[in-house]
Amino acid sequence: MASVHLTEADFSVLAALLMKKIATAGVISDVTGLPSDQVCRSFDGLESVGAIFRAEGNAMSTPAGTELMTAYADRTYGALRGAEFERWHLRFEPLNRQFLAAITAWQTVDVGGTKVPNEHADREYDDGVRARIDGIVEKMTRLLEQLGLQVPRLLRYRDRLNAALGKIYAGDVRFISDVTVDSVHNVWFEMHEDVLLVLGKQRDDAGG
Amino acid sequence: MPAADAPPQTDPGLAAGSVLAFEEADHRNVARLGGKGAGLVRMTQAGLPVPPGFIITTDVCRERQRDGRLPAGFAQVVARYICRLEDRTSRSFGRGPAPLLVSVRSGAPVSMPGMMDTILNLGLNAETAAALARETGDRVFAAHVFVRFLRMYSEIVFGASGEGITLAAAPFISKLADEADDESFEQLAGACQAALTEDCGQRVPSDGAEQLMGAIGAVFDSWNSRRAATYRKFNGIADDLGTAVVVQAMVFGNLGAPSGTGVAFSRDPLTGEDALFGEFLPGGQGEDVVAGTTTPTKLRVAAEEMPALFADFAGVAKRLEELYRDVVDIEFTIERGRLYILQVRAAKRTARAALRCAAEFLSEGRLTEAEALGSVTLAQVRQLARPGFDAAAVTEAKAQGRRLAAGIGASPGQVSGMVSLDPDRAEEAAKSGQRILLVRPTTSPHDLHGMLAAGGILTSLGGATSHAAVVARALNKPCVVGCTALTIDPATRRFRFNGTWYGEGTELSIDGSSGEIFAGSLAIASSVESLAPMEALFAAADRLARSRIFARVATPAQVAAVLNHGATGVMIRLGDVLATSGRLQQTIDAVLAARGSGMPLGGMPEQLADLLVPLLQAANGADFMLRAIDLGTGEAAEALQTIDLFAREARLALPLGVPELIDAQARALALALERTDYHGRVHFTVRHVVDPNEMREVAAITAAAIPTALRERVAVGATITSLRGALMASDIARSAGSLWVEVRSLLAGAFGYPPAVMLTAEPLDDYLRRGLLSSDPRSALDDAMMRIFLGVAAAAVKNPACRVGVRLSGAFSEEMTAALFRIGFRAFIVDLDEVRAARIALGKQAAL
Repeated sequence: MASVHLTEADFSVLAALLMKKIATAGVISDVTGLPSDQVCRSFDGLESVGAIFRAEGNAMSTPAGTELMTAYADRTYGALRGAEFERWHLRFEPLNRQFLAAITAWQTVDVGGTKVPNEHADREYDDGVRARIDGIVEKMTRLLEQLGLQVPRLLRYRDRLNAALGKIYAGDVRFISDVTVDSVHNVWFEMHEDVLLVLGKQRDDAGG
Repeated sequence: MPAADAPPQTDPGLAAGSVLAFEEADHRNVARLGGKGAGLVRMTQAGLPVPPGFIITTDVCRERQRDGRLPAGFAQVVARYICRLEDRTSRSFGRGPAPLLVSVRSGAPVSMPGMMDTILNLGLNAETAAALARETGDRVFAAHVFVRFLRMYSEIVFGASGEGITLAAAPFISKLADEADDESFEQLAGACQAALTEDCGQRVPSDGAEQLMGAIGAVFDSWNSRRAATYRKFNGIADDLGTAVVVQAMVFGNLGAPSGTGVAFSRDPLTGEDALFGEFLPGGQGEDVVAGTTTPTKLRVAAEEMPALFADFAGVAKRLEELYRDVVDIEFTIERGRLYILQVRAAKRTARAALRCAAEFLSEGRLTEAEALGSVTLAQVRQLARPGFDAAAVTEAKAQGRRLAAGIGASPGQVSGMVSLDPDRAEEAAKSGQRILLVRPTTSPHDLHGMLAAGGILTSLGGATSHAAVVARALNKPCVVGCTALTIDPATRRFRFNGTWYGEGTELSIDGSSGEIFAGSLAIASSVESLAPMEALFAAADRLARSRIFARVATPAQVAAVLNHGATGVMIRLGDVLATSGRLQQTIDAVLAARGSGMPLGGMPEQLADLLVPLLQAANGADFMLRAIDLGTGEAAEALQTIDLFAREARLALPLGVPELIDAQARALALALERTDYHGRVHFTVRHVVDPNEMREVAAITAAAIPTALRERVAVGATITSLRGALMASDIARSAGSLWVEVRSLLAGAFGYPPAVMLTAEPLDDYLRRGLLSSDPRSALDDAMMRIFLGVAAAAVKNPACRVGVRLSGAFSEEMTAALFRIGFRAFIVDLDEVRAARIALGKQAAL
């Protein structure tokens, strides 16, 4: 396996598959922003080295695929990982916490010290949370553009986050935290996983 | 209260009344004062202890937007109002020895995002900070407040990041802690300003008046921020409304004794109990409470220590409840033993508290019936009806030591299930019908498929903002996170609570609100919460609505439950009862064996009567509606895979395809009535009737089957499910004792939609967003459909002997129900867990 070299496109496809678990080329094309035919070519190549498994139009990554991904990340980004990436991560962490707090604020309200589900009866409160999310996505966009100078692949998350934000403003609140659509929360988490891979870090589990 | 000196606003350029002190303004003029300003005005004029202030009305913002600059003379007028504040507070703005500090906040007529945040402690400079230090006797406090102000001002007015200020200030604050001289605050100010200038080339003015103008300008500018403008565009709010600016004197919770700051609810926001609830931080300033740096005391405790003060406060809280006609949450500060109200809002509260307060406000005469009912939502009523663990079962489990641990309750709901430690295995197990609890250290998008399949989620790590918590809430599944007593060993597929190991597949129960975890499974009760304190509200709703509410049930226990919830009657689908008692197949076999011979189905009436007797007894005199066996829906359809059956025996699809079946059921009903002492009103209805001829035949068959003595107690009727039936309602009603319209079936048929479209959120939600339908068949009745229902209502009028009503399935739509009530429907059949919601919905509509 050590002699197998992934292209950046292959890496994007594998990372997306890991997130989606099982997906068609069409779905992976949407997630990565890569054209469908390129995704299909990646699928072919990845299948031939055992990195993915295909059945009935759907693809799934394999443990070998995960290994390939990690190796690619270490090789490609290893050289970049240094003071700059560390500084970037230090700025990302608080923003990540703010984001999770904002999503939680959408879902729950504080009533006299206890958290209860948000009934969405208070328009002002909801607008305030949306505004928070907007502000955070704005800051994340800037951060992604910075890291994107080294890893252009990551800019896709900027586009997906802002697309979701657009839907939120258009009134489709599923795009805040629903798992069945490309909500900001979903995209943010996928982005976080990807960023951890690039930076070579583990998720900070205790903090949640 | 008019001021002693009339406000001199004769400067050219600035219209009279553009700037108003709280005591001068008219609180009803929200368009000019903004929401927050109007609230402060109202409280001031109601005699409540509000720190004094003034409002720069939206007029000025509009003028500035129009002319590109502030009106001439504006600065002078503001200066004059500051003077008045100085007089009122005996403090001086921008100078010692007792500096006046003000807060500046935006106040639009309609609240929107993107508006400027509040700037606190404006008026601070090196001189006044030193004066504040002397006055409070606390240099470090004064220094922190000063630095915070500089940061806030920079961030809000200059858009700078402010971090540099904090960093630059740190060494000076440490020095101040030990010693101070006349230069100390100057040096602190110098360092902060230098950092700010380096960061963004700006300085915070030291002159109070300049600071104030800068802040006011920032408020006006924020009206045109991208976010605010976008919000207005999306919500159809005019861009020329403008924003007001509220300038108010600050009070200090750490000045003199007793002093402090706190937040109080006029009633308990969790339970609705009429008791002051909140926290108080003696000697604390507002930001300290929010920052959570010190632990406040419970309000009840503080009240014991300062009884006179808090007796006053309780009085103020009640005055505010009168003024707002609602439960309120009050931010307050006590400075030198004087109480000041800073902010009042309608309090956020739980569903339970909302219902209880509405009921008690009604009983106390604070709200009319219409207002009380209008203040609650169906979502709140439904939340209380959610199924959960049976309370007795929980008590027993605790007594047996089955409570294993507790974590953080992240998503409400109570569920039992088999533990699965892996999302793939969870998904597999769920496919075979198992109830699964997904148990992991944490979750991530990789686990999503497992989370979707599970009935509940438990993680050992993480907090209320973790992935598991957010996703569980989005999926509306119970979830407990951060259970530190839990350890998981994925390799051996085991998990451990404290000392004991358990294997994957063990049964556990979790409570997503309390965070508790129990061994084994716990029985479910259909309605956990006792709603006794809210009875006044339900009673008022019933009185106003004067409607009959039937609940669909299948067992005697359910009969008792719905009557407890206030249903006036029950509706029983005989097909369901047969299915649950396992007699359905043999009944169908008997029907098919008879092969249309015309002979009565021997033995069947007696067997069916056996099933009906306990139900009649449980009904205890409430209205009893029996809906004839209909093989097309409900449990019967599931059990029989009706489509195949109907293909083979098409006559079963017609209401009178097997007249012997109608005969048998009517006989069963008669037998059951004879065997019980039930004396209420009985309905016997047949589904899918479309023609008056059918109705006449049903009536005839039933009359022949029921002995004369009982006949007049049984109203024979039809349940309409089709357009044709609805259009023929008048004619059908002529031979019927009752007529019921199934709303959802009618709409589905009218729109031509299958259940997959009618019963789900998507694809119709997306369809509606795209503007492809002018009306949502799941929740609204458009003109065309209303005409049909008006026809049915007319049928009732033309046939007073026929009782007419509607059947609302599932979580009924409030809008639709209200519309039907408005055109005269007063009898409703709902699902068994919707009785309370129905009572409130009808009451709300009746109260209008």
